[in-house]
Amino acid sequence: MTNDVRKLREDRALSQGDLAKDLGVSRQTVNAIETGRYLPSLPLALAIGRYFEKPVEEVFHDDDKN
Amino acid sequence: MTTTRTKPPRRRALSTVVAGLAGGLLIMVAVLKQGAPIWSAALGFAILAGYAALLFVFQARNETIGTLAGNPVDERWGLIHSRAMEFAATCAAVAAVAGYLITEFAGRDNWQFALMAIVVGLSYLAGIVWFRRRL
Repeated sequence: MTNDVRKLREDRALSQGDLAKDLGVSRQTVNAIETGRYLPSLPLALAIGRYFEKPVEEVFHDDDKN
Repeated sequence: MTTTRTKPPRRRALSTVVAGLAGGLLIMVAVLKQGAPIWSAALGFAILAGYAALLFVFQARNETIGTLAGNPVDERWGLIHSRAMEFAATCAAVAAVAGYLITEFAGRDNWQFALMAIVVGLSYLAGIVWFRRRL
C-alpha cells in the first residue's frame, strides 16, 4: 500500500503536527502513515479521506492491483 | 471530523498510581514478613510507587510513557502496546517452559515453573475462545 498523505498535507501547507492534532493522533503516527510503516485502521483512513475531501481510495493505493 | 483519539481518562490514570501503591505495599509486607530490615522494605515500596508516580505525572506529555501507563494515545500506539504485550507474553512462556525443563533435569523443585506454564497455556486457550466471539 502507498498513500498520498504527505503530498496532500504539503499541498495544504500543514505540518505533521497540525494534521496529527486535527486527526486526533500523535505526530509520530502521521509520520508512520506517510512513510508507509503503519497502515491506518478503516476509521482513521476514512477520517483522513474526509479531512482532505477525497475518497479513501484516492488517498490510499493498493499497489498490487495497479 | 471523526477522530480516533483516546484521551487518557482520569480514572484510568489514577488506577496506575493505585496499582503501583498496592504493588509496593504488597512487596513491603512480603519483605518485612521475611524479617528483612525496614529500609529494604521501604526501598521496594519506593521503587514501585516512584515508577507509578512517574507514569502518572508524565503519561499525558509523552506517548511512550502514556503507553507504559496503559493509555496509548492513538490506534498505532495501541497496536505497539498489543505487540509489546504479545512479545512479553511469549518471553514469559519461553522462560516458564525453559525454567521447568532446567529444574526438572536438575532434579529440583519446579512447581512454580509448572504453574506459570499452565497459566500461560490456559490463558492463551481462554483468549482464543473469548476473542473468536468478539473479533
